Amino acid sequence: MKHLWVVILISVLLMACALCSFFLGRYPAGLSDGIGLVSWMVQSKNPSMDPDMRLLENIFFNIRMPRILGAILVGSALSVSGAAFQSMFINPLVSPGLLGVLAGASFGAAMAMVFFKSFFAVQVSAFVFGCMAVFLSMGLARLFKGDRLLMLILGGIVSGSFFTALLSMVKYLADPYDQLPAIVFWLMGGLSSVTNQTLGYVCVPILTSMGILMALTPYMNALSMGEEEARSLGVHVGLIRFILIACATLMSALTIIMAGIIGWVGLVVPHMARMIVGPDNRVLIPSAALIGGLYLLAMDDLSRLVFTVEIPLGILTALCGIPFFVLVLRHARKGWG
Amino acid sequence: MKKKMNITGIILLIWLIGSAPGAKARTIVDMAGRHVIVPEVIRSVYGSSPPATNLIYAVDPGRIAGLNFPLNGKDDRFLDSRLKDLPVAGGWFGQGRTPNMETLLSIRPDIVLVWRHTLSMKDKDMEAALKPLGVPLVFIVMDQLDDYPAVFRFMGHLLGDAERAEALALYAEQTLSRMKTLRDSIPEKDRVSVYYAENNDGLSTECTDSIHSELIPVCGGDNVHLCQAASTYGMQKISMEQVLLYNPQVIVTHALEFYRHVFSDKRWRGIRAVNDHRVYLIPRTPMNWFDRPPSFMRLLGARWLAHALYPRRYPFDQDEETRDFYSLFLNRPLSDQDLKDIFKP
Repeated sequence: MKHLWVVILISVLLMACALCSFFLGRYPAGLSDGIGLVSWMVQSKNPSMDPDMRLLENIFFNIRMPRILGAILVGSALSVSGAAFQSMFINPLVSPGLLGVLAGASFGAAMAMVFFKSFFAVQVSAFVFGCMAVFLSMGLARLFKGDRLLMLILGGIVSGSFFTALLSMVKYLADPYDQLPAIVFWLMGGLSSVTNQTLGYVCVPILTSMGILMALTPYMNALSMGEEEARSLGVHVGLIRFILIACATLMSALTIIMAGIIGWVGLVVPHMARMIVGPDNRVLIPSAALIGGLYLLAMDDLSRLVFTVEIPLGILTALCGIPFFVLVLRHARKGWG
Repeated sequence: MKKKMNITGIILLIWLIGSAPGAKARTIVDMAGRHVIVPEVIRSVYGSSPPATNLIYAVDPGRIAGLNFPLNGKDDRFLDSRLKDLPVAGGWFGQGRTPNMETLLSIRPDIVLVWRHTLSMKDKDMEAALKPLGVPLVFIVMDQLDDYPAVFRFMGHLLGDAERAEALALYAEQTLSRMKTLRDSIPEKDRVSVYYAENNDGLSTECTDSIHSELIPVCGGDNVHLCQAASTYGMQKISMEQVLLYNPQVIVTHALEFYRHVFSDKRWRGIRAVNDHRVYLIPRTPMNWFDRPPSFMRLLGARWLAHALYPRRYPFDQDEETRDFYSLFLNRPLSDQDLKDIFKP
């Protein structure tokens, strides 16, 4: 019951932060402008009638809104897949990129930038290769006998290194004045190119996967006790694992489509959540989703507010995440799970 | 220092005697003020980065010893056919493609032409790496557009082709003086504000004093992104709201993907340049006219941009001037189809 209150508190915080973010930005359009725009719209006037209102509508609904929603969606998707992986692999150092999805998606995006050039092709290719990398690591794991989890991790390392090497090759072959900078910037990650349209086709699969993972939390609890114990409880370990991996991969690959590679969120946020609500996945996964959204939203606000130039988001999440992670490691010695 | 020089001289001498019997040497002063012993006749030059290689191309494409990165395929027909047979030796620029010393040895350039980077450690790295090669390093300075007349004349002196170099230098001087006249004729209040959009999302740009955006002030425009460049590489990320706040009158870009979607993207609506349809795509065939790499193409790019910014004050016969420039600098007469391809978005 105590945890329920914590979850409610975090939700309220998240909503407050989202609301504030609406009125923060480099462009001086704050609360009063927002109220002005809403009252204009309430009087059923079309904002495109007045140039000032049109500008405000543009800032609030085409620039800030997709960024805020994008930050929450990406942050929570990464955290949930990280938390799911951590309890499935029974390992606190696991992040969503474990099975190679990030490496595969990076390679896919870079290749599309060199060969196709259109933004849509980049998104599709990133998604396809992200999934392909995970399939590769699962296939490799099946080839060998031994501890399934260990084999999966090894498969992930192999597949991740393979696609990282391919990525380096594409970077080497890319035009150094045209394509290479585009690849490098894309890999740094950021939410500046999220549009309402991208959000529209990405949010349904992400939210669905998140829903499935939340429905599976009791099984995750069983899995995190170890394979044997889970089997003795009557859990179909192979199937559950496959669904978990599929959903987590889908979510991480879709975040890459929106925001490029954003590190640390999927590793650190599940730990924050675990410190607050404990290891029970039924509470942990929803809390991780909320905290992840809040964390990335705050980081993105910093990224767009502090200087006239934007600080790449990947740098901020890492810089703010690392001290926290050190803290977690200290804590981890006292016992994890 | 002097002793070092002597040793280099002796090594060089031995190398010269070994490789080219009978070749004479001469001492020149390079643009960094160093005394360098170079062969009397220089037949092949390796440029350590694309701007240097491009400069050799303008004077004599036949003397390029090796390329810094492979030709991109689509613009090959605008370039000298001899380039296709050259080895890709790499160079010191951007990321990766550091040269393989054995490739450099096998192409045996008479000299290495280096664009001096005043802001970076690269020169030291490069000098150390090239020492075993025993090939003299000749430094050139072309940090600003203003340096071009001098750099052309220096190249003419170095390569023994003063006549051609003089023609190029005169073109550069003509461009520079026209730009100065244009700048002086524009009252402060009439200066056009310009945003330089880079990257596919159009949200990377350059500071006011960056070499990458030099043409904007040269052509009398005001770069909206007022700051000091922190690195020579540039490409600073900027937020959409900051661009809205700048509200530039003109946007120039070399990013095709950005140019294609800027007029339909809702977020860019409301910016003066977009409303007035004053977003210009920089021609990049066979080399960029504006930046990346900064090359002599900017001498034409300046005239093109000046006209884009001030159509009335600076008349510019686009087809005619482009033909003239390509035949002078690239030795490539242009057909009507070529012109279409150059300006096609």
